[in-house]
Amino acid sequence: MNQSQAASSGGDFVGLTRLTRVRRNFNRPLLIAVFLLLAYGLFVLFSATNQDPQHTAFFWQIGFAAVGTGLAIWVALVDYHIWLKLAYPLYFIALILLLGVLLFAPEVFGAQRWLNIGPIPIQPSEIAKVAVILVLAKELSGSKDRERPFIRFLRALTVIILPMLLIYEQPDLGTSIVVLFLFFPMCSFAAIRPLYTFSFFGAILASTPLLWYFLREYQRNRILVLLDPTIDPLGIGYNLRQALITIGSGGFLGKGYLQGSQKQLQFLPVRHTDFIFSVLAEELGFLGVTLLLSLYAALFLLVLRVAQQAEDEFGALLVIGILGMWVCHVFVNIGMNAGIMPVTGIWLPFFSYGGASTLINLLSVGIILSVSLHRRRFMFYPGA
Amino acid sequence: MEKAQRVVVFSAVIVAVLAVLLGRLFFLQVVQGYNYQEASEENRTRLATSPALRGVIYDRTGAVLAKDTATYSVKLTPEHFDPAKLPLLAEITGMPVDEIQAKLEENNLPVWEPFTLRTGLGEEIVQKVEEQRLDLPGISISIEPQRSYPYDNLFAHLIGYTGNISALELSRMESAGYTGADVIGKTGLEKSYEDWLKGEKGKQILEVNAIGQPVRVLNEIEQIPGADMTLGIDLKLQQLARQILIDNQMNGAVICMNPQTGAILAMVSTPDFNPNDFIKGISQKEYETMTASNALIPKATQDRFPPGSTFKVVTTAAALEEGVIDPETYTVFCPGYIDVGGHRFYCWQTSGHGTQNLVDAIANSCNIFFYTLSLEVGPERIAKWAQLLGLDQYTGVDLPDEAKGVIPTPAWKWEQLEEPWYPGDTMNMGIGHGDVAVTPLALATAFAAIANGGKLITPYLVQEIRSPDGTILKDTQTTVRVEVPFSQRTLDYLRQGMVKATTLGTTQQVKPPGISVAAKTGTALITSEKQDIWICAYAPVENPQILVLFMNEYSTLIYGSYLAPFAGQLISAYLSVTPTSTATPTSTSAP
Repeated sequence: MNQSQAASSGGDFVGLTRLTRVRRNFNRPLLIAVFLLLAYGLFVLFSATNQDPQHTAFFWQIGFAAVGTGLAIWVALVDYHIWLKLAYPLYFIALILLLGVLLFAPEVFGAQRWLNIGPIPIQPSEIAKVAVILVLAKELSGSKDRERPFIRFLRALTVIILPMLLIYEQPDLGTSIVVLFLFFPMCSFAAIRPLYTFSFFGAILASTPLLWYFLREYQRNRILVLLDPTIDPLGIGYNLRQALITIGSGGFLGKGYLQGSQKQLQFLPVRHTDFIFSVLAEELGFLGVTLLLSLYAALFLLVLRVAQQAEDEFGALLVIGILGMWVCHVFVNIGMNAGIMPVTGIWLPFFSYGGASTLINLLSVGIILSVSLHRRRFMFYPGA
Repeated sequence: MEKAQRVVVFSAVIVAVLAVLLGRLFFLQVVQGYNYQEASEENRTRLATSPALRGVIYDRTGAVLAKDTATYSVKLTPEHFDPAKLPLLAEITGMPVDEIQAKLEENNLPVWEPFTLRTGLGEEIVQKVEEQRLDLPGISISIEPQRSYPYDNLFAHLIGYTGNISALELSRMESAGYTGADVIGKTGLEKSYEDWLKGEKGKQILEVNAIGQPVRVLNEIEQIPGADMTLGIDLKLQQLARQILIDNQMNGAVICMNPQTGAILAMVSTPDFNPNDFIKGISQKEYETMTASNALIPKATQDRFPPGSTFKVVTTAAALEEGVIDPETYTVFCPGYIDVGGHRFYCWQTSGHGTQNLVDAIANSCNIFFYTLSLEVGPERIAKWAQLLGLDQYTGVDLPDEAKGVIPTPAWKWEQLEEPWYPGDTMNMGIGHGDVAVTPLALATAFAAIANGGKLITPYLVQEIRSPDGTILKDTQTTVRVEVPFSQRTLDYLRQGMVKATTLGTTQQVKPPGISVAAKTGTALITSEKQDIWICAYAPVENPQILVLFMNEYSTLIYGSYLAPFAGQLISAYLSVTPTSTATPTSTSAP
């Protein structure tokens, strides 16, 4: 079955009503895992923003989660093959927005990442991430050049290069690396010869020393400080040191909910967004952290199962792309909190405060649910 | 690779990634958790100190000579400061824009730490800044004590001044709890009584946020002001002493002291300086000017001069106590010169004094008599009595960095210059010339021992130290360093000679009416036109209350006796009698 057939027949399941299919195939455990993460995130966000009596960020986040959940369910019910058509239009819109950022966006903390469209601030790099997943899934699962795998590989590579460079120019090194790392799981999962993928991966690793010269001063400092946290403890090492103290002082059981002194005293920079993990680690300790990582493990393995059981390669690759993005974000974000990754503006999925990230993540959940839903083989979930 | 295999590999990668993170967190939170808990606790609090008020210094009548006053400092927190407000800030603080910018660039504190932009401002700065508070983010005012000396130059060398601790001083004093931000006594009593005056710094344990701003005070220890001190100094006498030196454009030293107790009543050295300038901060150029004119050196205690004929009391004491001469019968004929070893030595009165006995020789300060006498006594025995009178020792006065005199002997000369001792050296020594050099204070103390019957006492400035609540912490008692083994006969002869001196020539002007004064003058030739001249006098002779030592360095006056009216003025002022004369001396008497 080729893609167009799948697309046209996707909504046509013989002998079953649409409602029955939804009921039977709806991936309830996955949605529950997402809700648990969102609830856990809101619980910690409330504490992180405790100094604001109105809890503005907390209520905004509830709003984002509610809207996002609606979006997820709506997307879930739509056959995911619609993204085959939307992939390139979205991709080009993302590229135009990225260019717009470079040309028009105001500079905040030395970087341009936001674009105001009317009253709504949007972050084109977030849109670009999803657009790249869609386009890569389309390219890697398409029938074109099936016999010429190297050409397919190069096409896929071309897709990621342009957005990567534009995001890097903002500068947002973290996100551009995430875009790069989407490529590997998706290529590995697709029928691309591992030789190409791993050669490319090897080439990137080999050129790391060369990349050093393309890094900006502050980016180099963020890496240097990882190697020696005592460099300039009141300057660039400050965030890192404070994050480590915050996490480490949490101990096994934590200081107790709302009791984090580091957090309360504002030692922690951007504590409700990129460093929210530190608040969790300080107040709920290793126990709370283990719970979070267990939830992620459950979510990721459920997502992987959706990829495994997907109706077609396009669906599987969509899911793998999203999974790759999340795993990458979790590793980079917790890694930077825990002092093993450089500090970059990488959110923690379902945990960090932010409209763009929450909506993108729930949209992604919707896509995964859609892939899970729109297949012929039935999955039997307890209670379905 | 089959799909199922891929899923297994992906699962493994996911689990591995999460395991790495969990492992790292286990290390941070469980293995090293305790260390980070401590760091977190330190992080939360910051120790702030507030300077203690330094003790007040009073004279014996209760006049304030040194105290702390509140001044205001402007502080700038770079993190919150808006550079666009530079002109406004310049206008308010009275600092040029480029000076503020220079300070901003020099500042090496973290950007969230306030640093001091300008100190020593008056109270009006508070209102000025308050009015513009909204336009001046990152600008704050702090109150700091600042030392002030109401009498400016008057106590420059005595009380000294305070200043910021230097790196060298800090390395010595760090163990005593000093920090680089502290102000300490640099010279004078401020230095020697630092431990009493400094008080205890206030300490505040502040809970602070990430940008170093205090959130609340967790614990506070109030500052304890330093102890107050009352000096034996008499403000009026001190003012008079300095006035005489300044009015007559004399560089030198004046010491007034109670010869019975050692209490210093007045002590002035010129040229001097205004210690308040040091508090405000002086430029390198101003400092160099002061150094070039020796204004910073307290001549009374930190410099030494040839004592000239004042030293003849020592030669006399040695001769009498060592039994070299019989004072009843011993006389020397003074023709105005003496020939020794092929050299001719002259008396200051070249026409000669004729036959001189001991008392006349002291009164007339006859050089020929003392040349002859010193050759008979010999350098070792003169040196012995000079040493007994403490002339080559520290007096132990409660001032820092005291100097001590030099009393030459043949052994000393060989050691220092590798030259033999000649009879001429003995003769020079006998009249306080040559290599003899003393500090004015040591000489005054030696004369006090003669005045008080042989007690070599320790001179002192601080009479009493009180804690801020009024408890007396220290009440200075007279310390007798040495009971000089003078016989009464020796004391009588010295006294007679010095009393007789005040009946002759210009030296008479040292004597207020109705009061008996003993005095010895001295003139040490430095160049053919300039000399260090001295007078040392005490009164009343029967029960000495005041001893005045007046020294004029590098004087254009010819003889020490020209200082008699000045010493007389001081004695009169202290004993509350009208002086005989304040006129400039015209006739000649003994040097």
